[in-house]
Amino acid sequence: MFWPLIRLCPVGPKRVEFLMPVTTTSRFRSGALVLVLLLGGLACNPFERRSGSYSAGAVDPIRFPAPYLGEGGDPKRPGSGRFQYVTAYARGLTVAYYPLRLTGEQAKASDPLDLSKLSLPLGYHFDPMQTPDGQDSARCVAPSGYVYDQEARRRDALRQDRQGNIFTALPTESDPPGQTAYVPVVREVTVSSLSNRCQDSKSEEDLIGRDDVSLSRVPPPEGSVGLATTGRPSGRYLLWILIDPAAEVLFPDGMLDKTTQLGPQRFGWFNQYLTGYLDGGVIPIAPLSPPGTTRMATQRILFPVRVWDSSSGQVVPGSLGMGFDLLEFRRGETGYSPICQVFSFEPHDPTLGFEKSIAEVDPLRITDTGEVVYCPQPSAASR
Amino acid sequence: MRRALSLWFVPLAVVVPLSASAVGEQDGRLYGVVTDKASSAPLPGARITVSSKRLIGGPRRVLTDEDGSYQVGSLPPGSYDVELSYEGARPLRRKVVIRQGESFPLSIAWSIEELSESTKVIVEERKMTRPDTTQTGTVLSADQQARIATSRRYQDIVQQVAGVSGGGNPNIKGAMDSHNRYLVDGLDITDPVTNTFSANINFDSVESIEVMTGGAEAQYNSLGGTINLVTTAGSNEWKINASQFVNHQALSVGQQFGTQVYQGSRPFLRIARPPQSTYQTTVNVGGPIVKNKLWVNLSFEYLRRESSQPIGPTLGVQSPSLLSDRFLTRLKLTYSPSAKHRLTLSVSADPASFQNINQDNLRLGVAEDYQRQGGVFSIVQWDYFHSEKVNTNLQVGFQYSTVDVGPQGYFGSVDSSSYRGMGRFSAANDIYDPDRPQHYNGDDGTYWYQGGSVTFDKRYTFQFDPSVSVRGKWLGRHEAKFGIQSRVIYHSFDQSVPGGSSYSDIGGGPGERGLCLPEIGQTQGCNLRTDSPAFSNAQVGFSVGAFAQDRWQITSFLRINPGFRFDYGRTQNSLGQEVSSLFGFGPRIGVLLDLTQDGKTLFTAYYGRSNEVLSLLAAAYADITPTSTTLRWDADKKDFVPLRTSGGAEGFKLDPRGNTPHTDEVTLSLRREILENSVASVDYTYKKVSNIWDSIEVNQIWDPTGTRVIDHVDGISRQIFQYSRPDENWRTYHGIDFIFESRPRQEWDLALAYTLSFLYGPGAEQFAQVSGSQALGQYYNPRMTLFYDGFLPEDRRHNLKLRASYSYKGFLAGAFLNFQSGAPRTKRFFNQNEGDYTNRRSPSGTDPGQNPNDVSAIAEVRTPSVLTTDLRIAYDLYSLLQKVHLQISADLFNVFNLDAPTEIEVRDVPSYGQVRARQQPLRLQLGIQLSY
Repeated sequence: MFWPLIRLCPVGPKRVEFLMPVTTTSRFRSGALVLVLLLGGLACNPFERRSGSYSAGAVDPIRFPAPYLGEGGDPKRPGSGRFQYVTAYARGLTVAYYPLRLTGEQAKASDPLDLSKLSLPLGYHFDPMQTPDGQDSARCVAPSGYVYDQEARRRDALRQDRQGNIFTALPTESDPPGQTAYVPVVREVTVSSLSNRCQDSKSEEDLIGRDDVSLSRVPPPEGSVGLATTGRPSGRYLLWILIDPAAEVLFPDGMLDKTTQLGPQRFGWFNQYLTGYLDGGVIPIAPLSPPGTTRMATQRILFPVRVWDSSSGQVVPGSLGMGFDLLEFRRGETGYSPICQVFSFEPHDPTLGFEKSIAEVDPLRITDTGEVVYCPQPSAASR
Repeated sequence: MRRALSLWFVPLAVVVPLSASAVGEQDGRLYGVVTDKASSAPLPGARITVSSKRLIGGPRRVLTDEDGSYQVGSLPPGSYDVELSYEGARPLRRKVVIRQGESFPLSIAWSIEELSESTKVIVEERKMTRPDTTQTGTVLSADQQARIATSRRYQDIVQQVAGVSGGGNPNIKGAMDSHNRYLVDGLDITDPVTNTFSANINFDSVESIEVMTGGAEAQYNSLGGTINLVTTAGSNEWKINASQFVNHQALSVGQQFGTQVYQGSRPFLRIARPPQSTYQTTVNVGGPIVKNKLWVNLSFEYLRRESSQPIGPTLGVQSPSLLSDRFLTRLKLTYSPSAKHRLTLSVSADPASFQNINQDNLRLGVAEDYQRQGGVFSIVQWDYFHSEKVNTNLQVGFQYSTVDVGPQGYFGSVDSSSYRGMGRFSAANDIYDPDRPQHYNGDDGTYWYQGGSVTFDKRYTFQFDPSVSVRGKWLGRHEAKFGIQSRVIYHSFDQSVPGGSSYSDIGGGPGERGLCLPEIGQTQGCNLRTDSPAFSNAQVGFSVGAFAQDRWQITSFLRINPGFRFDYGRTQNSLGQEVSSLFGFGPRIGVLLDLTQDGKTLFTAYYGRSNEVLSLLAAAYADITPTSTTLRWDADKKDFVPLRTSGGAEGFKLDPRGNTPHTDEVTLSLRREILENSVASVDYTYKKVSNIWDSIEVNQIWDPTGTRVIDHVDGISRQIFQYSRPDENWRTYHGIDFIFESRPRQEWDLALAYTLSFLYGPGAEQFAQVSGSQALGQYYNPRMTLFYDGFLPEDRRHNLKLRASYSYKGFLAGAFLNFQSGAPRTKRFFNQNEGDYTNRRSPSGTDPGQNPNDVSAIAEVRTPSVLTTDLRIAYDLYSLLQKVHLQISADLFNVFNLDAPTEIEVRDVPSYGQVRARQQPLRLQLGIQLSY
């Protein structure tokens, strides 16, 4: 019996493969051994090194709808767009939020708040109960002795002592543009870390097959074709707005985090690709949703119709996002929602100052615009 | 023997000052055993006389030892008469061809019958199994090359050898084009900075080229291959050789093809055929100044070449022609005052100039570049034949070379005739303005108004290589060689940027209208501007190496060739800082089995390590430069604001750690003489080049996607490059060569080689991030590192080569066919920070496919396969003219007029995947050669 067993591949781990035994003559054996050694070596394929859940780099936003590229964004030039959070006030306190108008099919829906009519992807959320709001889980296993310092920042795309959350769909522009079915809301699947290495899992497919994490799984319907086991939704909905991961995201003052030199965006994974998102947190569901619907609960956002423009020294028409908006709740408060019903109001004399609380606004001077926007506030942990 | 060894080791041990990388074998040798045919008993005392027109000092004579063995070394390549004589008997004669660097086994079993014959002349013999060495590769002789159509450049004909691919600086068995060593008459002319060839030689003055692709013995130290030229020496007869070769676009079918890979010729396109001509004139004179004592050979070549790319994307304008003028002069003196001494002096000069060198359809004449280069090199060799068992060789050489590059308008005149007055471009493109900065338009990859930097680059090399060869017996026969190889190199460099700045524009659209020209209110394309002051620097380095190599014949069927070498090299920059101080130990072990014990069937196994201890390239980069400032356009301020700096005294770091760059090689070879003067072989090569030099950017902190620089390690917005030899910078080659070489009769020459190879790894280049390459390497942006692993650009999976020629009564027909499968390419994406297409989204040799963000869509990208077939038809009028050979030749290149793309657009621009260059079309070259 002759075992043509050696297949040396000096790239990566040494590899030995056992193939089927072959009955041979001794003369053949010696010749075949030489041939197998030669061709075995020749058969090395560097792409075989990329097995498992390896990083495939950053998501290419080439097919992202414009709102997800940021201001000035160009899908052919990742990083050319910019997202800037704006200032608002909630009961006299300054808050930041990012106003994102509804787009595509959701914007045209008769009830854009009804999630039951929308196709929502899953979002795998690592250890949400054990992790501060707005942060990545630290319950994974970090490399021995890992320290997140300047050198680690230079070397590593993401912190290697955290695990990014995992997405299952990207924003995709429709053809013709403007009718995208993408909605920046995910159905949360909670994942509990057990002994998984940090940032090791980068896709739904990988995650479902792992035994070093814990999650509830849903097998595909019997007889279905092309469907795979997925995670079981927890019942919560999250506003996770996927954006061009290369885009610059700024706090309202135009500044960045002093340590990371990044804004309030977060980073996660989609299909082994690194992606960035604006985390709006949990979307509350309206308790009185009509039967057959799952309506997102909103909070109110008010903007003054006239504001004082200090640069021109004049009163100018106001609009949403000019820095004078009023919100009902801050993130973390009961009643917070990253979905806002937009109202305008007639301010007092803008030359004398501006309102910083809805309570200061005369209810009779409030007008419902009928518009709904996403209004995610960054978590306290993001700055 | 032992006494002889000790005698020679003492002075060698004292001399050790200095290691070049190779003492090139310029001669061959003859060896064998004379036995009695009937009894197989050795015949001692038989006289072997070797004579040739190539052998200065007259015939060489040796006596067979007590075991009947003999050996004659230091035989210049060529045809020899070997005479075996025994006192009282009539001599026996054989005719053999000795090849450069090879040993010819000539064992003779003598019988009474043969003794009774007056003489016995046998047809010229060529032994090609190389029964005493593990070295792979072959020898290309002037005689062979005269039988086929070639470009008449020594750099190009190397492509005929199995395992060799690439261009003028070839890739030999997976190594980089900067990993070879080039030797001319023993002088290492490898460029001390770029490690490429540094000199041109008159093609007709080359006697032979040994192309060593692997299995190198200890006197060679090359990470890739060794290209070892021997030039023609004089002889005892005066000879003159002159030739004129001409080709012209009128002798070409022209090249008018579509831009897509699948498109062929455009039959309805009516454009003028782009200029394409070469005029090559050579004269060689050689003969005796004093017969058998002093020979001279003098050669001269003038080459005038004009070529240009046909009109194509992106500018669609006929680019000005590349015009080159080259003057090659060479003198070789050979002096033999006695049978024990041979002195050789070689002097060469190769000044040349090149106008409009880019030829890429991405720039007008005003933005073209110019290059002038050349230098002089000389080597003196002294061979001392102390005895039949000991001879020495001393080589002392010097080389000076210069390369000056800059805008065409800076050095010469600008050709704007193809576009002036068209109205498509502004008047700024008509006249060269030395103070106008260059603009690069990232939207379409075009360059405007100005060429590149003005650089003046000078290199000096001094070489001192003594060696001794010793033959003796101890547990078998030994032929040992010991030597010292030393090299001192110096490099000076001056650079200035015309206009002081260069612009990298994007977003304004293609062409001139997309440029950033604030002076006329055109700012849509404004992105980056880099201000670079002029500077000068100089570096110096030296290396010393010692080697010992033995060829130990243990039994008639078993040889072991053990060897080793030690190398040390040090380089220093302008600041006096030690950039590298590297030591390398290179063991070599070869085992040769003569399977049929007749020298006709050889199996060899080899392992060897070569170390690169001396490279001025790292020192040239890790040196003082001025601080360049890159500014970004601020649309609000309508002005450029500082973005980062690079260069300056703190712009680089040295890394004293890291292993010496080295190659580990395993070669297995099976060779068999299957016909008379014919050999078939199968060679397997595993080669890993490790610790390749590179520059690592260590200060910039990129955003997680690798698109924007968001911070700096030291808090200062600047680039810092650390010069190092990372363990992760490697490349691996597996290749198997199937080779058949034959010269069964004088009329025939045949060589067939097929190579199946795989080349992969992250080590695609050296120093790309500081050399200005658009394809930055794995150490510039850590977010991109993961993509720098895959099949390398030089990975040619299949390579088939056929060289065949036949001559009969003055008529000659020869052909060379070369099939290469496609080369991997990698799609590059725009990087906001660089203002250029430097990012990747998939591994080396791939693009992300049609469905981004899906790893299963990633697809391999290769240029199409290329087949070239060149043909020579010639007739020698010797039979009519008598005494004078007058050969008229017609060379047809690309006989089948194939138009396979050789380069495609790899940037993420609208023309991605389109053809940027194709095979040269069918063309005819006419030649006339006179020799007397």
